Amino acid sequence: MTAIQHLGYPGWQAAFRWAEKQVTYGNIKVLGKVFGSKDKMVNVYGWQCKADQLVHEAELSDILVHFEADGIPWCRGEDVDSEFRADADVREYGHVFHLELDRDTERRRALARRLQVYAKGSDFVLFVAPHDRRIKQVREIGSFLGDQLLLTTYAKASKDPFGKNVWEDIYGNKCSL
Amino acid sequence: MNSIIAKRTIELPAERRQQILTNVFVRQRTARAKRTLRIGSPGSWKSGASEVEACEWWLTPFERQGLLFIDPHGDTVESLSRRFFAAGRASRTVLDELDQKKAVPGYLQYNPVQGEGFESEVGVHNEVMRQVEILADERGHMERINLHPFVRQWLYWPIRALIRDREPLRQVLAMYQVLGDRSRNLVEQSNDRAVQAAFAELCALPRMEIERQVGAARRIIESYVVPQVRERSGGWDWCGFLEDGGALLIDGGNVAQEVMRPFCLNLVLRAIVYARLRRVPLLIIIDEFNRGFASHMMADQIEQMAKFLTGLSACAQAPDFPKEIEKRFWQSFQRVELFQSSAEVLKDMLHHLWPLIDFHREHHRDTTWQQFHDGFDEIEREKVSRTFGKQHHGGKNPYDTETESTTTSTDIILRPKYREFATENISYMRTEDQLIEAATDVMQQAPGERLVFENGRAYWGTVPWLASPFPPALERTYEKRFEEFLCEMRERPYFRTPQAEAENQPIRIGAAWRLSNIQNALNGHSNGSNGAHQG
Repeated sequence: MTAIQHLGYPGWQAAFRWAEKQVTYGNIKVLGKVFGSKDKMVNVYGWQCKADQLVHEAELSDILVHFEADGIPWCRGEDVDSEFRADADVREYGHVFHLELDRDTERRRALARRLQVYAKGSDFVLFVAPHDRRIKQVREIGSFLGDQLLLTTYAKASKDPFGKNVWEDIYGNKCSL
Repeated sequence: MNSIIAKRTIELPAERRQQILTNVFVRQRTARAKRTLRIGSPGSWKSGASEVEACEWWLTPFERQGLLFIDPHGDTVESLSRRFFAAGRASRTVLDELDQKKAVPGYLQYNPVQGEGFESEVGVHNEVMRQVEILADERGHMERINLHPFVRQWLYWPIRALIRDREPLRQVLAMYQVLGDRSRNLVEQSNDRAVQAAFAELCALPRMEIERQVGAARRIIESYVVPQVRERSGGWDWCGFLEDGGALLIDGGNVAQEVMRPFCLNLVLRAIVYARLRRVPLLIIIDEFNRGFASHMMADQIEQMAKFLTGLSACAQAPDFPKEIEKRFWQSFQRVELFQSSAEVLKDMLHHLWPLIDFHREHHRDTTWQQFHDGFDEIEREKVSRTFGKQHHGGKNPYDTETESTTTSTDIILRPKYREFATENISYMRTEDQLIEAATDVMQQAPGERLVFENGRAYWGTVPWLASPFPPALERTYEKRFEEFLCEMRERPYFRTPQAEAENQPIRIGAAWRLSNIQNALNGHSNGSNGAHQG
């Protein structure tokens, strides 16, 4: 719901009404319910995913909605580059940015395997981690990604991914999209 | 009332307009995309000429330019890299290095602080094997894979390169590429029976298993070797360096030619794509450009290079190309330089090039040629004419009009704009007799003297800078230039964080640096604006 609000609806009630309408028209369908940011139960709409990925998808929408608002082309789900299979792909500056949203559920080894996939190409990887401790971990694990990996926390990314010095690389240099 | 804007158009005569257009488009293009072939016996200064060319290219005033120097064996790359990279080395100053050179002859050093480098070959070999085993076990533990002996063999060279601490360390990346290609020919022509046997064993495995093996080896290199290479070359990534108007030097070192071969073509294509994307002029120099190495694979690419604004200089001892592409191959080079060489080579070459030479050209130099030597001033000096016709008939011999032009030869002296280079003396061949005379001399030529065929003309000249091959002043210049370049880079705000500056850490290029580079290029802060902001 927060995602729909970002698209220009003044309050969550208006947004809710719009979403309800869309469900009756058959444009979107309800996938399930999750606890949102303020401990409210909210619906999740969108492409089909497994039940345990609902929160992940909802959080991803919160980030992608900023890209949508700025008119930056993005894709998620089955439309992403099949070679890398990131959570979402964003196109900016004529480059592809693979967006990877992490919820600190993967173990180190699984994460390393995930990051090694990106080393096949030279595209940027936007890695969103839940907290700073995880960022520190990713920095160690993904050090071989060198000039590809950009890190930030979910709090920053969902607020404004284009903000000043939101992203940082593995050496701790700050930059902004 | 609206003001009337009178548009003034400058009307040029059609010829002049054509001339300007040619200047802008054609000449720039041809000048930057020259293709040169150097032929000569060993020690006839082919590589020296290439080195001079690389230095010239480095000093030319284009703002961003790429250089790809592939030297499968030989020390040209070492001496070049000493010039280019000496000042940029992390945590070492030039003076320190000079001191070290005084202390120990040679510049492959034993570094007791880092525990790298060894006095004896056996020591190196044992240490490399130990490292390979450790890495293979580690990776095997991670991925539950037992690395095949052949794959371990491949890992030997990159690790060895790390341990020996050769300065450019580019062969490491060469190996990295080769592993990606996993070409079969590579090994079939290898002389090492053990390698062949191991490879056959590897080939017998199922396809998925082979891919797993190769993938594991690649990952070892990616996670262990490449970061160290980046760190040691002062933070310069090999691609990154090309992007920022730098040089890319490939040193084959001890790696066999068959290892370098498939990599060579791959790398050349990658470099061309890079130059194309970044819109930088690129010069590719390949030493040992003979049939076994790279030439027969690249015959098609050479013709296309002009399109991509890419220059090529190839050195070969005796070109023996397949018959079917021989003629096309010769003619795809704009410029052929013949150093001291045997009569057979000469005969072979003249067979193809003689019909292309225009002896009776009115004026033997034109501006396209001048563009090739951008760093030179050209002085023309008429030789004293031997024709009596000039003296007796007021400049013209009524009886023999042709001899008038043939007996006069023009000496052209190239005086360098940069003081470091020596002058080059050039004399054109204006008759077939002159060419034959010069051709017979070819076999007794001194090193550095060359017979040049270029755009339908032939002339004799010497490689500049031959008098003093490695003047200390020049070395200083390059170091200074490189240091200036580094200083300039350091001034950019994104290049160093305040934190890093406070700690005085070595320069490290991360994603932030790369991203801001792209952003700046797109915003037009630097030269590389090659697209619009899409956001």
